[in-house]
Amino acid sequence: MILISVIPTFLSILADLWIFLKISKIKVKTSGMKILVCIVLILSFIISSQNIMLSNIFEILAYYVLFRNYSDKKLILGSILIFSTNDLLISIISSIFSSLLSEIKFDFEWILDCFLLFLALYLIEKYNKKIRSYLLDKNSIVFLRLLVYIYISVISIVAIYVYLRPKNVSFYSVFTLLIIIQSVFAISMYYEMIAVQRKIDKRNKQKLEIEKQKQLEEYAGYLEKSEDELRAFRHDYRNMLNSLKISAREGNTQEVIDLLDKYTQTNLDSKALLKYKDVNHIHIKSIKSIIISKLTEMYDLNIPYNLECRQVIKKIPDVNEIDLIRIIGITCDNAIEESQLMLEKGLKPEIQIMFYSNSKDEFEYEIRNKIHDKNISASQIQKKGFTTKKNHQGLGLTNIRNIESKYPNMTISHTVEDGWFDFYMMIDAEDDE
Amino acid sequence: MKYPIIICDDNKILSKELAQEVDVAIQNMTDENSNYANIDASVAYIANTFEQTVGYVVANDVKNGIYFLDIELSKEAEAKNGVDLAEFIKKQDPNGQIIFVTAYDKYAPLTYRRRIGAIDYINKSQVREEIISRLGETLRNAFDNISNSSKLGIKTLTYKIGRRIQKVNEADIYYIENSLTQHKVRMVTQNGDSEFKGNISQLDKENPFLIKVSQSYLVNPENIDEINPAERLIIFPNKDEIKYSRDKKKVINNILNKYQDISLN
Repeated sequence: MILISVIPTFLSILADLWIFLKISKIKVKTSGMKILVCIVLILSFIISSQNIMLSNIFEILAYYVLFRNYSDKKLILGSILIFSTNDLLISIISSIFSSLLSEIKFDFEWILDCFLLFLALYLIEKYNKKIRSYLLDKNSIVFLRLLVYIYISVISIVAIYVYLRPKNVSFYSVFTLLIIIQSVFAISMYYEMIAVQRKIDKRNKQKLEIEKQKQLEEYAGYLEKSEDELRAFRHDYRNMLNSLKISAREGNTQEVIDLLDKYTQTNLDSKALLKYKDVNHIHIKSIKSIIISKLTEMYDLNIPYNLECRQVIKKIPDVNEIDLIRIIGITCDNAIEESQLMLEKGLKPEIQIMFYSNSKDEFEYEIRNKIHDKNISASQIQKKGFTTKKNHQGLGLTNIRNIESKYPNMTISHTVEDGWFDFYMMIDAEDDE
Repeated sequence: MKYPIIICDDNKILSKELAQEVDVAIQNMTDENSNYANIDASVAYIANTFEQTVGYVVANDVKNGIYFLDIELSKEAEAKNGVDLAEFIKKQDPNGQIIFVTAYDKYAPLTYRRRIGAIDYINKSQVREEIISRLGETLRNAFDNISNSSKLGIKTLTYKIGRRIQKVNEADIYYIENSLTQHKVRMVTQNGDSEFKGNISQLDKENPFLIKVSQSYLVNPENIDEINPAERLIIFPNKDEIKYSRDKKKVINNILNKYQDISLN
C-alpha cells in the first residue's frame, strides 16, 4: 500500500520536469546538467514525502537556478509557475474529492491523482505551443503576472488547509471561494485585454493597408501620366525631327546643336518622368509602397535623388518584412532630414538609393546622402540619439542595431567618406561556412 | 608612371568623341596642376566591342589601366555588356580603374560601385564642357588610386560580406569587437563601422598588427588616443571607449612604452 501511495508523487515529479521542458523547449544536453536534474528530482521526491508546499517551493527555486541562463527568463519562470500551480491544483482537487467521499472505505486517492495528472499532461501536450507564445509575445509580462497571481492564490488556499486545518470550515470556504472568484476575474481580464489589443492591432493594420493602397494609387497615377508624356513626346519628336531636318538642310549647324541641346535637357531628363524610375522592378508590395512614399517626399521637397534597382526583385530572404520596412523608413527619413538641413543652408543635397538581389537568398539595400558637415564621423552620427533623445536620427540607428541583432545573416555598415554618409545592409541567407 | 587609357563604346562616333574629351581633360589637368605635370597618360586604345577590348588587354598585358566602359555594349540582352567586361578587367588588371559611361536613364552608380569597384559613372548625354570637367575629376581620382595602391606600405585587411570581399586599410582600423549577434564581429574604422562574420581569436591570429586587450576586443595601437589605467579604458579619436581586462595590464604597458604619443589619464 505504501508503494502505491508513492507512485503519484513520483509520477508528478517526473511530470513537472516533462511539463517544464515541453513548454520551455529546453533540451538538457550535457551530462553534468543531467546529473544535476536527477539530484533535483530525488531531492524534491524526498521533500515532497514530508511537505508538499515545501517541495513545491524547492522545485521552483531549483529549476530557476538550474535553467535561468538557458532561455528567455520569462519563459523559464512561466514554465516553472505552470507546473507548480498544476501540482498544487491537483492536490487541492483530490483532497476535496476524498473529503467528500470519505464515507466510502476505499483508498482511491492515488487513482484520482493519476487521472488528474494525465489530464494535465494531455492539456499541456495540446496547448504547449500556445502557452509558449503567450510567454514570449509582447504581453508576456502581463501573462507572467497572471501566473504569479494564480500561483499565490492557489498556494494560499493550500496553506490554509494544510497548516490551519480549519475547524470553522464555512468561514474558510468563503475565503477560498473569494480567491477563486478573483482568479477567474483576473484571467478574464487578461483575455479581455488581449482581445482589445488584437482589435487595435487589426485597426492599425487596416490603416497601413489603406496607406499602402494610397501609395500604389499615386504610383499608378504617375505611370498613367508618364504614358501621356511619352505620347506627347512621340508627337513632339516627329515635329522636332522635321524642323531639325530643315535646319540641317539649310546648313544651319549652330541652330541644330542648340535645338538638340534644348531637347535633351527638357524632354529626356524631365524630372517628373524619372520620379519613380526602377520602382517597377520591386515586386515586394510592402517595400514598393514605402519606397514610393519616401521618393514622393523627396520629390516634393526638391531633393535630388536616384533610385537604382536593376534586377527584378520578387522574393527576399527570410526576414520579417516589417523589420526591413522599418530599416528602409528610418534610413530614408535620416537622409531626408539631413538633405532638408542642407537645403536650408543653401547647400546641394543628394540622395542615392539602391536595391540589389541576384537570388532569393540575397538582398542588398544601400542609401547614401550628402552631409553638410564633412568632418562628422559615422560614430558621431550614430551617437546623437544616445545624448538627445529627441533626435530622430540617432534614435533610429539604435533601433536598426536592435533589428540587426535578430538576424545572424544580416550585416550592416555605416561609413562617412568624401562628404557622403553611406548606410549599407546586406542579407545573405546562404550559409557559406 | 605610365597610365594606359582604354575606351570601349559600341558607338564609334561617341567613342572617338570621348577619346578626344579625355585628351582635353588630361591636357587641362597637366596645365593647371603641377603635381600632375609629368604624368604619362594617353588614350592607348579605342575599342567598340567586348572582344576587342579583351584581346587588347590580354595581348598587351595592360596593367594600371584606366578604362572607360559603356555599360550597354550591345542591343541584345544576352550579349556580354560593360559590367561583364569590367569583371574580366578586374581579374586581368586588379589595379585598373574602371569608369562607366552611359546615358542618363541607365544611371546606377551604387549598383556597380560595390560590385565591380567602379570608381565613377559618367553621363554621356551631358554638354561637352561638363563631360570634360567630370572627366578631369575622375581621372585625378584614378591616378591617385593607382599611385597609392602601388606605393609600398599600405596594408589592408580583407573580410567577407556575403560572398563579396571587402578591403580596409589597416591604418584606418580603430578596433574590432564581438557583435551582439553570435559569430559576427563589428569593426570600427576611421570612416565608420561594419559587421561581418568572423571571430576575435581568428582575427587576432591572422592580423599581428591588432592587439587583443580582452576576450572580446582587438585594438589597433596606432590609433589609440588615450589610455585610462584607473578605469581600464582605451579611448579612440572618435571618443569610443572600450574596457581592457585586468590580466592585460602588461600588454597595455607595452603599448604605452612603444607609442609615446598616447596620452595617459
